[in-house]
Amino acid sequence: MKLSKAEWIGMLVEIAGVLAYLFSLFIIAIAFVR
Amino acid sequence: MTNPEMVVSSPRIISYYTGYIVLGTSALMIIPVITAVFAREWEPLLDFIISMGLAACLGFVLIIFGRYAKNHSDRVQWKHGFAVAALSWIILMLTCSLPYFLSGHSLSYLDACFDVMSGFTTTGLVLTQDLDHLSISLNMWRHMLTFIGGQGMVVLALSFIVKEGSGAFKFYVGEGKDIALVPNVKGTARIIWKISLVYLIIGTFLFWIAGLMIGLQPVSAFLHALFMFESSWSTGGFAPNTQNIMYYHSLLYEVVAMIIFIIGSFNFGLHYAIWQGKRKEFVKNIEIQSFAVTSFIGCVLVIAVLSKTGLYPDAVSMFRRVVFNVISAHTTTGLGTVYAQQFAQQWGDTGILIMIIVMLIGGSACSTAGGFKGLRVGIVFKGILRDVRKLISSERSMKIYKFHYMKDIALEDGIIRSSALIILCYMVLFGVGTLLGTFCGYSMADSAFEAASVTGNVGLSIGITGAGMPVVMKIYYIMAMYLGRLEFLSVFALIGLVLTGVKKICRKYLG
Repeated sequence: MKLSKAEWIGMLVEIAGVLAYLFSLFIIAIAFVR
Repeated sequence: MTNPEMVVSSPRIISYYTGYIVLGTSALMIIPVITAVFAREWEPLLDFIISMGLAACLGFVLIIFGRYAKNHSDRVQWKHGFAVAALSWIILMLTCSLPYFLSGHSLSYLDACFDVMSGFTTTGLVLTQDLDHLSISLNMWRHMLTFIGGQGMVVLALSFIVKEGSGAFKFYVGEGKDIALVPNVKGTARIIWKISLVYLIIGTFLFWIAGLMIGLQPVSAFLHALFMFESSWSTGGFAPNTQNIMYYHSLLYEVVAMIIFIIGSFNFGLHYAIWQGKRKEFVKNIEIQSFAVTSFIGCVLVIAVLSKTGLYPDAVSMFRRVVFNVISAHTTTGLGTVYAQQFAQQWGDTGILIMIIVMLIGGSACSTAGGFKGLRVGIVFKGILRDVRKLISSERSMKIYKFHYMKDIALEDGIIRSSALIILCYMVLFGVGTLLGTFCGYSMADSAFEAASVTGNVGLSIGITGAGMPVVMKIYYIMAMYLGRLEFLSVFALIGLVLTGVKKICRKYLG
């Protein structure tokens, strides 16, 4: 089950995209709860 | 001489392939058996050996009954594919619940069946008693079931058992997964497992680190990590503790879970496209757009409502309680960071209503998630936009409207109609579930919340689900989880085949 370079990058893109989305929701939480 | 036209009938074809799936799944009990040996759990070991033997016998009986279908794979039709998927799930529920029942942690066989269907359908509702004292092997089995259910038992069977060309694609579609990642269906099934197993290694490692950081022992941290990964990736919602993910009291654990269940709710076709280098798919895909919009709106609305109450005084607790639960509901995971009664008493009607809506929408098609799926919401929404644009544009304009789902697809009436029909089926299932809840004496809001949770295969509870709830509700919830997961068509095909068989028998014997 060896992953190619493109597959590793693809997986990192997915994780980074989700993290960015969660961070945007955290910013919303900060904006509402001050 | 036996006439092959007569012997290779629909029941035999269905029996043959269902038998293989039952046999394959019974072989999987070897994993909890090994676990029981290592953990020196001798009574659970015996439970699994008995269950494995009974399930294997049943699998062999089904294969022997349908043996004439072996060399007639060309006779496999779409109706057989759908019926095999639907029937397999029922028989597997009955066989896989044996270790639960024998363990003594289920008050009845129906409760054991409920938990297994909840696991298979990646719902996550639990009727098992004394969850904190389950054997390691039974916990392994519970979480394995939800992991396998997420990918699909038929997909697993296709990967290892069923021969290519023997109508394999028809079984695959029957389980609600209709994307061919590669022309070869066995290859598609293996890609699905490859993606899941790669994430299994990475996700378990991340949970293990998070477990070590909160002070768990290495072996215990590994088992918790494995169980929580299987539960999160499959958008399941099981946990090895009564307190669910709250047991860990860790922001890191919750963030890792969120990353995994969001990625787990993505379409396997999307994973494959991104892994193949088509990274723009991540933002162009209609399901991702739909999920991002609806989950964002859901989170903002609940944050806005609850920020007025002062229930969660700082941004971190708001994020951990509200964002986690809304995303968990939207991806149909069901891991919860608030207790059932807190939803009922603290979130208010608006909060509950938003949770119901996001639970019903669910994750992506061809993923581990349930609900009526972002794809269908996106198609129906774009269909409405198309009709409005047509109304206000010039009558001579002949524009073709499209949506992007791995490739640009024309927005035709047939696609919109089939999406709307499936959404309608979900709404009926949800409506009847709510009605049944109110009929059994629960409040409207509680009944609707729980009905949305079972229909969308979510697993969050507002307090209705428990061993003491009426038997009729347990049976309806099992049916709702099953129908919701298989997206109706397979079950309708199975019912149609059974009714046709009954009709033939009646004609034969009653003239």
